[in-house]
Amino acid sequence: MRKWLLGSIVLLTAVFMVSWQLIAKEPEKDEMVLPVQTGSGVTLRNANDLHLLTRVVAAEAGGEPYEGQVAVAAVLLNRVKSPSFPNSVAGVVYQPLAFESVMNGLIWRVNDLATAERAARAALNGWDPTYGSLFFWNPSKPVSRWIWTRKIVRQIGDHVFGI
Amino acid sequence: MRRWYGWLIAGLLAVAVVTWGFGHWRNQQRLANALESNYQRDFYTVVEQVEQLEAILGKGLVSGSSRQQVFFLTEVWSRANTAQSALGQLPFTDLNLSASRKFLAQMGDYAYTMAKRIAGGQELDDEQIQQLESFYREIREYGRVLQRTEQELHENGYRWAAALTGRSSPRNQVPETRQVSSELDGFKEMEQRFDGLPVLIYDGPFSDQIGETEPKGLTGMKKIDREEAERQAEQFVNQMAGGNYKAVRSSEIEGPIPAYGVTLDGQGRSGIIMADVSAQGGKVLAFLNSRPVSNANLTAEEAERKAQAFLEDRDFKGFEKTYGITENNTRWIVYAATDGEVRLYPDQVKVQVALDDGEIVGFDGTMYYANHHRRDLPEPELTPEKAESKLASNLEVKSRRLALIPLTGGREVLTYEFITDFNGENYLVYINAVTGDEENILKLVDTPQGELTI
Repeated sequence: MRKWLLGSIVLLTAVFMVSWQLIAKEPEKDEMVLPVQTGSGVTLRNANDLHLLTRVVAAEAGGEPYEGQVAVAAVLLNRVKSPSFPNSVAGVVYQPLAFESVMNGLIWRVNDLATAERAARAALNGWDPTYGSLFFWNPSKPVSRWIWTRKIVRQIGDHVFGI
Repeated sequence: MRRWYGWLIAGLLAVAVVTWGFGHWRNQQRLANALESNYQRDFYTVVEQVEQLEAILGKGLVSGSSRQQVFFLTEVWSRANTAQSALGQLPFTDLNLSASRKFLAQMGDYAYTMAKRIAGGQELDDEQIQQLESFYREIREYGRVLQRTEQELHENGYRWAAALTGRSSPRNQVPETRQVSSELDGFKEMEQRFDGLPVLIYDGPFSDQIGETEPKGLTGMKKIDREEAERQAEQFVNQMAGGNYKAVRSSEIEGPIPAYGVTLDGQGRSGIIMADVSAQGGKVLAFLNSRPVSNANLTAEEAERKAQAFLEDRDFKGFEKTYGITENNTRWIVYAATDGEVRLYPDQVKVQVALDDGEIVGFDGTMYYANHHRRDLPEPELTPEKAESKLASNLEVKSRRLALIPLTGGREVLTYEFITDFNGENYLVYINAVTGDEENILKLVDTPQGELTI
């Protein structure tokens, strides 16, 4: 009886460890390893920049239509290109107080990344539904008066995009 | 007896809670101090770099040697970038410092552009020297205000990390009711000052735009209304085989190219299409289909034939493929217009083809409509052989063609594009076809998805 119990514990542990290895070693889909100038004109250091962009899009615009997700990715890339913002994807994403989802950690908890990744790639390939916008906000939530001084370009889903 | 037990348990619990709480408090203090140290370092980096910028730009202005000027101006560029990047990592809850960051980035970029000019054998004109002097006055004032701010922050024991606790929220969600801490007045003062600076036009990537740039590809076309925009979107999209998309709603887009955003539903086909139609001329600027593509049945070559046919059906004639990549079971292909034998890189369109059934799921003609116009291209003054002689001798030329390329600051130049091989790697080298100057070098990278340039 005791042997049987011991055996099943060992077995369960082994199964757990093997499956953990499988999860942990899930191969990254992307093989880009060099800095690459994308169609959007932003240079990606490597695939990690794409993954980071994807996470912010999923966390900030997960429930938005596809084009709205492309638009959020495009705003981040427009910031990278703008002299008023940091000049790398990581610099823009980790700018203190810039994104609610980075402050509350949501970007590390989002797990439905498929659409967000497609959206991030579309923006990297040069699609910009926001025509150069640097800001986006949800007009139904409390926002500062300052943000309304921005010139609004368009609305997609729940987000307003402005320069 | 029982009471004795009760007191013991309560006492142990109290000790446990206090120990646990103290442990948490200590950890939290350690984290807060580590974070504060980072912010303090970033702040001192800003102050230090701004002080150094004043000194170095001053030296650049008084130097009579062009070799020294290039050196000083390049250092201005590097230090301004460091300052801009450190400033961007400081937490300001109620203060937006866009203009301050832009000032630093633009100053660096301008200095770099001037350094390149001097290195190219040209002298700075009066206007350019005055601009550098104006930067010098601003950076000196910035340094003075930052030193005062440093003093105030120090005296009041200001903690940057405190901005992150309590009721902090992202900048665009902060109600205007809270007051900016008075220690940060210096930042506010300089932000207002930088915000009032005149626009700066020069040949660099961070140059301000001269007003609204008119889309060149739409000039002379007539205005359309929203209903017409919806019709144009339907027509453009439904030219695809089996397409039965209907416009369901539309909204206005007030960007550099005024347009209508039209949402189209496929009447049973999966995927919504969003298409932007220009208010002037009713051209479809771009569209995206939201449907995911789960498998690939077509090869890259078959997809490219579909894309080519799509363009020809919509009167995009004489376009050449410049590169293509495969991602997520779709093929993205970039095409450039041609004028005779000259490839026009500014006039490009992008097409995305689904590799499951060959449907076009994305199109972007924004760059084409922004740039395309009848150009009077200059005659090349260099023969191809003469241009090739300008290349470094260690390059092996694989092919060449005439190409119009965009430079920073909105300029375009006619060049010979050489695809070359250097130690088994491919580089694109662009030699000005009129002056013989080397205008740009791109490195081609073969990724599993296709060719990309650096």
